[in-house]
Amino acid sequence: MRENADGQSEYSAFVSVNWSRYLRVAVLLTGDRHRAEELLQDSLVRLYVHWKRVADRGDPNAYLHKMLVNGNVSWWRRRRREQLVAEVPDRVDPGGQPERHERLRAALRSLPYRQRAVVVLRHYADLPERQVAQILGCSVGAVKTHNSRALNRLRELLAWDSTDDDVKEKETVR
Amino acid sequence: MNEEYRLATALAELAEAEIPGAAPVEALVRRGRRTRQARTVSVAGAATATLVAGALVTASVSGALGASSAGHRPGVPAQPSFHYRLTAWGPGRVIHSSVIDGVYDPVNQRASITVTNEPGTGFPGPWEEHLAAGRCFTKDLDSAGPWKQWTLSECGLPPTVVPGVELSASSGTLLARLNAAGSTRYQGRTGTGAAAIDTWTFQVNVPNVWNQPVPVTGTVTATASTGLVTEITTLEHRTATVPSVPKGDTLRDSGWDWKLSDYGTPVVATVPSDEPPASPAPSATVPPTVSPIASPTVSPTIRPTVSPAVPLESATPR
Repeated sequence: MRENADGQSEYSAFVSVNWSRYLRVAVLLTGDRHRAEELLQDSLVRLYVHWKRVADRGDPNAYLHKMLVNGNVSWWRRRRREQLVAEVPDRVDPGGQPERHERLRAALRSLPYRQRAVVVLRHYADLPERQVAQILGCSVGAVKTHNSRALNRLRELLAWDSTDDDVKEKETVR
Repeated sequence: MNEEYRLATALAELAEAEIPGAAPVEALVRRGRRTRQARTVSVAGAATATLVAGALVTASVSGALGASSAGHRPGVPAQPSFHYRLTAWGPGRVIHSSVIDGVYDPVNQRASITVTNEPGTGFPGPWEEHLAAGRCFTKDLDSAGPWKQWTLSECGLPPTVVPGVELSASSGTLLARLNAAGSTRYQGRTGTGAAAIDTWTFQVNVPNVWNQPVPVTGTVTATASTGLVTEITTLEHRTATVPSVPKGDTLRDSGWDWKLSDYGTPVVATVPSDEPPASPAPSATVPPTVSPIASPTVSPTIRPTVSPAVPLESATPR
């Protein structure tokens, strides 16, 4: 592929082939499709600005993961402040997603942001613990702790039926 | 089932429920360019304001704007097409080396490939295949015969890495497909900077002609900076998978080696002007039955699921 001086073609190729994957990561991180697209586009614009430096270092994927996680944290903090004066209405899913999707989405939303990031990066993006630690700026031990606590929390909210693979809501009323 | 595996499966299912549209590449580049220009102006302005007079500020700002906007050319396709070269290998006279050379455009579903089989093996000479307008066409290059029309499954286009797993230039997309069909494992990174390469291994079970699962293992390597796949190797473990054949006697492993390159290569694949009015019936001698990329298996020329009447393995010399 022809390259111009600032690697625009390389950037365009990176975006086009990775868009779907990162949009899905962003959806899991944010719990909202529109917010995910906004977060991903903002992160990709920042990636464009720093593309040459990031590409030269050889890891735009790690950079983008970090942008997504940090961008989501910033948004999360703003949202929590906003909630002090106005409750965010329940999300209406126009696509009519299956009920179990909504349960899992709600369970993920209930996790603290770092635990949620660990769950998404470890169990969806399939990144090794060391890389997750680099993205979150913490130790591998902290990643393990976040992962363990997140799994405990998800276990409380969801039940893994022994006879089928579906995530099922725990029958006990909490 | 492992709890973490269930969580991963549930997350994948939830994520896959989202149908991403096309990447807004040009819009992102425009926004990125504007942001960079704004930063350049800001940085240049701040630096020069402390050092030089106002006249110099104007000069540096316009210079920075000119430099940052130089060389930008939009128009990169939303998903790049790519060139690929596929080499088959296997033991014996019949399970032999084949080479497929061509270009594939996954967005517009266009492909143009040339298939060459090793001479003297009883397989047809070189032929050309085009995927265009939702149809597939082949032409025998030795006899320069007319174009013939086939269904896509008869031609083996679009290309599949293993049965049911369509080839993708995106490592993320390809690994997701391989994960859905089997399993993958990240093996690490080699090299640094722009030369850094990520490697994964995978395993998928595919049915053979006797409908028995045959393990196919392989590796995927991709450029770390772009996520674009550079090479895929597959190894089909065929030994002793057929009840009627003694273990290890006539069956041998075989494999494929894909090399992907030239991302963004324009694909020219048109409906031939001498297209026949009706599709010919497949026969044992026509190229599609032995097409190296014929779905749904890894080995085009030796595909028992495509031509079960030909006992390819038993013809292998002992």
